[in-house]
Amino acid sequence: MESLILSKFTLTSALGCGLKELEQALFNQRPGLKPCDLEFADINAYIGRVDEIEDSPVVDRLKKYDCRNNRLAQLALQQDDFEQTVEDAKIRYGPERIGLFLGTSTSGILETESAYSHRDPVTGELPESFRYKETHNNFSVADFVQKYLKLEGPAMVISTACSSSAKVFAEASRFIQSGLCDAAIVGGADSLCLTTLYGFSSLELVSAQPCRPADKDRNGLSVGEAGGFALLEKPENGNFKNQISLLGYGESSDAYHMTTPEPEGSGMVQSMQMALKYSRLNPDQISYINLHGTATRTNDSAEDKAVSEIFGSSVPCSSTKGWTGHTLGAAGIAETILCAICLQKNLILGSLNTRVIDPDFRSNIILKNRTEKLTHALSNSFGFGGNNCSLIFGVHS
Amino acid sequence: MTTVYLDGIGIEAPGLSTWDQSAPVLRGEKPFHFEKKTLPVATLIPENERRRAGETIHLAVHVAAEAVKNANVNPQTLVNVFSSFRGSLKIVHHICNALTLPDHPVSPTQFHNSVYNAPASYWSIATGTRGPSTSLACAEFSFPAALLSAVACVSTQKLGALLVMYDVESPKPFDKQYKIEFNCGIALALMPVPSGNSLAKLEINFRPRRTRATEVKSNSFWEKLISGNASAQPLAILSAVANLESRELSYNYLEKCAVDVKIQPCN
Repeated sequence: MESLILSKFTLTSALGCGLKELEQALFNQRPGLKPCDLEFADINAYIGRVDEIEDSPVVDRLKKYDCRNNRLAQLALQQDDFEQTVEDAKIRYGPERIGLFLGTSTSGILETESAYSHRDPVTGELPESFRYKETHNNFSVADFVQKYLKLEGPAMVISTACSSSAKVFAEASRFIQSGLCDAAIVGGADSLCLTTLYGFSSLELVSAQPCRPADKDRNGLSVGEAGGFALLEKPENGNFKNQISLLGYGESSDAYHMTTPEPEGSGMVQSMQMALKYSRLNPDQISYINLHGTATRTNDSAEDKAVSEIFGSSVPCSSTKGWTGHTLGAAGIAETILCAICLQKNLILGSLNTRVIDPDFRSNIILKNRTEKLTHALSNSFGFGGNNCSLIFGVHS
Repeated sequence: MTTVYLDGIGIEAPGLSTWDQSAPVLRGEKPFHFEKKTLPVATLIPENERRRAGETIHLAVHVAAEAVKNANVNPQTLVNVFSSFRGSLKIVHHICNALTLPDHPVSPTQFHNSVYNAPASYWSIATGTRGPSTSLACAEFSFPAALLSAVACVSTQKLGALLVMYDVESPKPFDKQYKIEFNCGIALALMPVPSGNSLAKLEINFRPRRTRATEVKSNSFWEKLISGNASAQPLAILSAVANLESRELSYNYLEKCAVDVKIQPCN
């Protein structure tokens, strides 16, 4: 595929609002997970919470879209001069030539959860103030962001569970290649809600401690929330120098089970191999792998088999879920941006909280941050239903 | 502009069940009877999974299976694009209701079926399809958005695409806002090159700033179906295909854009 650059990007997560706070947290080894302190949830778990959301309502002109998920999207857009970058891009391309591709898994379902606790005791009806379409419908976050940024090009939400905001890069790449738009805002937002906290608990997939990816004693994930965005475009005059580039994407389906990945990781292998093929890279040219690494028994085990089948035991790998929590539909964009920072700073992030690597694992799991010259990074995102996506990013020096 | 070939159709809507039965109705050779029916059972889904599958899953898989059968194409060779206006609100209802109860007894099956990509995932499990699969949402504009996504796959990856639209009748208490009146699923097998199975050639064009009036209106019965369920929107294309007519139509897409479709019959 034709390479595209991420000319601007921003992330808001439990590691802070914007890139400065994120980099400080990464370099100071400050984790984002803490015991669940949400006033609406009473659960024995650690979460990756963005503390600023409650005090950040959406702008007045779009107040019918006000909900935790759209607040998180807006808060993320307000960091790192991202809005100004979009304004400049609108002048360069025209607002109708910029596509918008966002990922989310649960959208603003928290609003519906709250509406259910205020149903009419007699009729069972939801309160008048409940606005399903603007808050909970899966398209809500793209609808909100398109209006917030005053964009007029193609827009959609991709919702494939935990691969959602990785797949937006593939979709945007195809739209740009097809001439449907010239540039794209890609990213996503997924916010904390009861559905995911108690839903993953019902599947016995939530750890009572901070999650420990690839650890021999790993016992489940920690749910987090995040919003992140990137401007994806062709470089000016074809000049990729010092730019973070999307070099390839891979997508596949496990065709196996709704919640359990295929144990040998064959769907994951297919996704990574497609990304390598589209990037025209060999496995030994990848210098860092950001694993999906949810810290569930089955995901980490299948992913280790898949990664070691292609990359052997040499390429440094880590999961950053121990830093941010599993941000679900936002995991793809969050880990893309973490890969971009790694490439810019020549940093390999350690797998936070992991103490003893599972002795059955063959891939090269890195436990402590270290600096090393990086050229290409691969990021994995795998969703429920066996929906897989792998992205490869590079930096040209 | 991108050209694709419509090789297979699957349909389940009131009065329109299977393409073979629907085409004569769309031609006016047989009368249209609005009749709400119980949802089809997607027998393609393995029995263990079938019991756990909800309404949207059965509907989507059922029409998808008909489209690939009519197209005489191996589903494992297709890219999947699934889309819906509302997803499964019945599952949302069960989960949100459980969350109001002591100890929040969310059903694990309901939870994993609540992901928007559940119908596409059951389809891939049922057919052993290991390729790319996208589930996208664009509210009432989901069909034109999914059409663009599918043709972008066809044109860049030179693979066929299976586009599946599905929406079921709104459950209480969601039937107050944006009511969906009945169940409707439509699947289209869209191929990069023509074949003996091709029903029509479709030229798809994205028009960012729509100026001229779009969406020609008549009083045909299928337009009433579209107003009751956004997933019936492909019926405008299917009507032309059934009548072997060349037709140009436009779908409003978001506030300011349009997706133009030029239909030319293949036979």
